[in-house]
Amino acid sequence: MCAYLAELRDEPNPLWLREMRQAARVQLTPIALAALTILMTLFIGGIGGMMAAFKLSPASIGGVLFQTFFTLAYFIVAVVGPALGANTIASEREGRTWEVVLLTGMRPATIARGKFASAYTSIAIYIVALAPVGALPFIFGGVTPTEVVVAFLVLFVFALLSVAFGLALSARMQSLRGAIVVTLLAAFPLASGLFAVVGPMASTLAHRVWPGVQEGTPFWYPVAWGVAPFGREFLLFLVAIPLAVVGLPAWFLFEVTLANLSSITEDRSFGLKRWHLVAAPVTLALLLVLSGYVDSLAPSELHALVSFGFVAYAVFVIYLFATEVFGPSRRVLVDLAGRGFLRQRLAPGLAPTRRMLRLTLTLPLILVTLGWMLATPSSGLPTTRAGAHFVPTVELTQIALVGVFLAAYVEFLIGLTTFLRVRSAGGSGVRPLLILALFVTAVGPWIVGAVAGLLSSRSDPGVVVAAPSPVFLLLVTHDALVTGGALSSPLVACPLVFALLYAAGGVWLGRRATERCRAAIDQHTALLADADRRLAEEDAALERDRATNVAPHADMALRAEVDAPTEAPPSPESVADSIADVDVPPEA
Amino acid sequence: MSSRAPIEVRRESTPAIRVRHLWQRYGQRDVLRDVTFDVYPGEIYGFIGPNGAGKTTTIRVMATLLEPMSGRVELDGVDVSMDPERVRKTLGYMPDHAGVYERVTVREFLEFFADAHGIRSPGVVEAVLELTDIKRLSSELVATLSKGQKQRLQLARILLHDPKVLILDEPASDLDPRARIEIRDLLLDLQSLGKTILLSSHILSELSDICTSVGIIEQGSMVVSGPIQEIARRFAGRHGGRAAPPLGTGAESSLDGGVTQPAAAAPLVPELGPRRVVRVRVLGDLAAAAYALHGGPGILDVNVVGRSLHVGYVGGDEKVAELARYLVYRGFGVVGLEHERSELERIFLEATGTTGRGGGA
Ligand SMILES: Nc1ncnc2c1ncn2[C@@H]1O[C@H](COP(=O)(O)OP(=O)(O)OP(=O)(O)O)[C@@H](O)[C@H]1O
Ligand SMILES: [Mg+2]
Repeated sequence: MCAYLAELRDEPNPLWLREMRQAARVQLTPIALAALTILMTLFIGGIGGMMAAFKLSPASIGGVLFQTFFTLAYFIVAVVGPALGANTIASEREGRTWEVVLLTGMRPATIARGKFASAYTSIAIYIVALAPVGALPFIFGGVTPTEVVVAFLVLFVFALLSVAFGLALSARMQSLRGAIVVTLLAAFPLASGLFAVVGPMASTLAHRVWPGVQEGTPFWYPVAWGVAPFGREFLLFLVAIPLAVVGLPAWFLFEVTLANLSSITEDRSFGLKRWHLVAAPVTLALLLVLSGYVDSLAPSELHALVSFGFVAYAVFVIYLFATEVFGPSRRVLVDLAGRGFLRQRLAPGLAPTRRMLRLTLTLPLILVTLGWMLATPSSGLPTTRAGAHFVPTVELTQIALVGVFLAAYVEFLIGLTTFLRVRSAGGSGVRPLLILALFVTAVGPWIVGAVAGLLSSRSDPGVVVAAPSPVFLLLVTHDALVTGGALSSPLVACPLVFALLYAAGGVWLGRRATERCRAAIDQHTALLADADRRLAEEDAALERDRATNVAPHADMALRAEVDAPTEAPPSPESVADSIADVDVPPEA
Repeated sequence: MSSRAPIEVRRESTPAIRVRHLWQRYGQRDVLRDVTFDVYPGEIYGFIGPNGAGKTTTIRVMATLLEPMSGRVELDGVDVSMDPERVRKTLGYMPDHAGVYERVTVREFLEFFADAHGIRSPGVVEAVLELTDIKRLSSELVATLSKGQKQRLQLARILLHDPKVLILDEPASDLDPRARIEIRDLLLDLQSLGKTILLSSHILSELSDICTSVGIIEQGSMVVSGPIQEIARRFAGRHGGRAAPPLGTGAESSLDGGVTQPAAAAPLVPELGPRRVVRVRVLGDLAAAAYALHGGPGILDVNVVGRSLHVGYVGGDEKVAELARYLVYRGFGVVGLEHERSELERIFLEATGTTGRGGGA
């Protein structure tokens, strides 16, 4: 760490240095900063004055101003950060300097770091300019210094994510305007969602742990630092989970940026695979920990919560790797030889990627289900909640059903995606089709049922049309089990049948796809070998000519004209061509 | 048409650039079809073709920016798709219409690229500023430079890491004549420093003075490639047959068919080469001057066109000098001598004429 900082000081990233020099030449920056600070001061001061006029206590005024200021600052960062991030790479592309920068031999990681550093420096300057305004609530009291400091820290960390988000998106975009528009269109709803939904939801949980935290406030985190006593829960909720919640997306965005900056012949998916190998267990652990803090739910409901949460992550990852390449390029093959075990396992290609996804997505679902079943008491007294009786065997059946169904469903999605990928030449249609398949299987059956008028009552046997959908288990089967439905009853058996169909379909599609893929790679390898052989023959002929002292060039001069282009090369469904575009999914 | 000292081109060594059976397809269209050519160390290679012929596409493959659909490109013996990092170290690439950072000074601009290349020695930026003669601009903002100056700055940029091979895509496309001449002189300087240079253009006159070799590409296919002199000899062998029957290469005469000029029955020294035309402007009686030249040694035909004589002859520049001396000796005032076409233009016309394809884009 120290060595890294020392390197930063002695050899600043050239891109950062240049952007700072360029920025220093823009006279507008200080004026804009001053204007922003003044506006914010007037606004916050105005609100404070108004509230004072209503004779509110200074302490509560301070609290409200604190929330107002940081809400505003949050949205400023949510808009400015992505825009600054998007600006960095897209402006080089548009200014036609990008390729020139690439050709200097700078590594994509260096470029990404330099670009990030420059955008982050700019936004940090904005935040620092706002600092005096952020201290205004102090005048009224009711806010502790810890809260203000932590709030600013949160702002800085959020700025990191928002800049990285803009950078990751712009690494794919060709035009500056497009990059900024797309980034803002994606960032603003995302930030609003975080603010309006995720924040308050988390605050409910925090309120349950520490009643001093108000329920329903999005910006509760700094307050919690003030009220929470140091202990296990402090470390868990205020340190470990926030670190994971910020660290994983930040790392993800960095890897996406790198993948988009790398050329198609490089191994673009390795970084994201490495990320996934960490993110999958962390996500699962996070879900398990959180489920421990949700009371008033039966074991099967908690299991469903964790499993569906993990399936959501699984769908995201399948979507992420949907455009994986058929196999490694010539260059990556050479590079892979002699690398470590893990690196070899995570090589680019459809077959290794499918294997990785099955091991890291399907298998954990099965293991979690087995563990859950072991931990759920199979005998003992029935528990009651809200009038319904939960018989342990019902609970166990439900857990097993949900686990089997979801594992089968994920297996199906993996197989289907692999299959679609093999069928599409450039990989462009895979993601839309995956979304379509998700919609058709998860939501479609319900729409069909509703249109046919079969969903009027959950006990209506016609409701089985919705059995292909994973939520059927939660909405219908569970009730059927509770009211004494046996395994043979249609509402219980149908989902099981569909689970088996999903599993079989997924395995079959995946097998077929990897076989086809292997054939394509073999064909491509043969073509490459053939090309190599012909080039070597040509070299040998040239060598002979040279030996017999004929000027080689004289012979070559009209070559192109004499030998008309002989044969067209194979259709471009080659390995190199099918290298994926790894990109940020529009909705994470 | 080089009046310079012959440059040293090591044609027996490995080529600095080897393009072999390159194919590229966009959609259903083959943009490059089996493009093959070599550029040898020390050459200035002119890559000529009309708009849309595929020059930029080929160059981008060479510059590791585009993955070819099939075929191989080697720079200095390194396969560009296998080891782009190493290729980038030996290559200086100037894209067509390259951008610059406007809000930095010339020196900062170059310092940035020097840093990006990881160049540690501090004198490099000074050296390239000196070499490209933009030292006096070093503290100007890049935004204030003229197009010609920007182009020099780009050249300075690609020289920073001392690459062996320079690839310039239309380096003179938007320059005025003066800036063109300056760039041309600079390129010659660079060649004398041992660089191999490939430059593309669709303007022949831009290349004719400096190139040692050319490749002509049309609609994605190489029409011809090689040293200018050699190609000229080849074409002379094919088309010059009527005017100067080549010794021992009679087989090629079957390709004749495009030359319309009547051939004179003058005695010929066949190894002098193809028929050329020089335009001679003389004061006084043109008809008398034409009569005086007619039937001279090596003179094939003489026509009066406008205010000048078009003299068809075989031989080198000595023949032109001899002709001028003779006219002066006979009392005609010679005020101008110029070749009807440069060698390159002749090659271009012949090469593109024989392929039966249209030359335009
Ligand atoms: N990315 C691309 N997608 C589709 N077609 C392309 C692409 N790049 C080039 N082409 C086509 O390939 C052909 C060759 O283009 P290229 O730029 O190589 O020509 P050029 O010889 O450099 O022409 P110019 O003299 O105009 O620069 C053109 O017809 C062009 O339309
Ligand atoms: Mg071009």
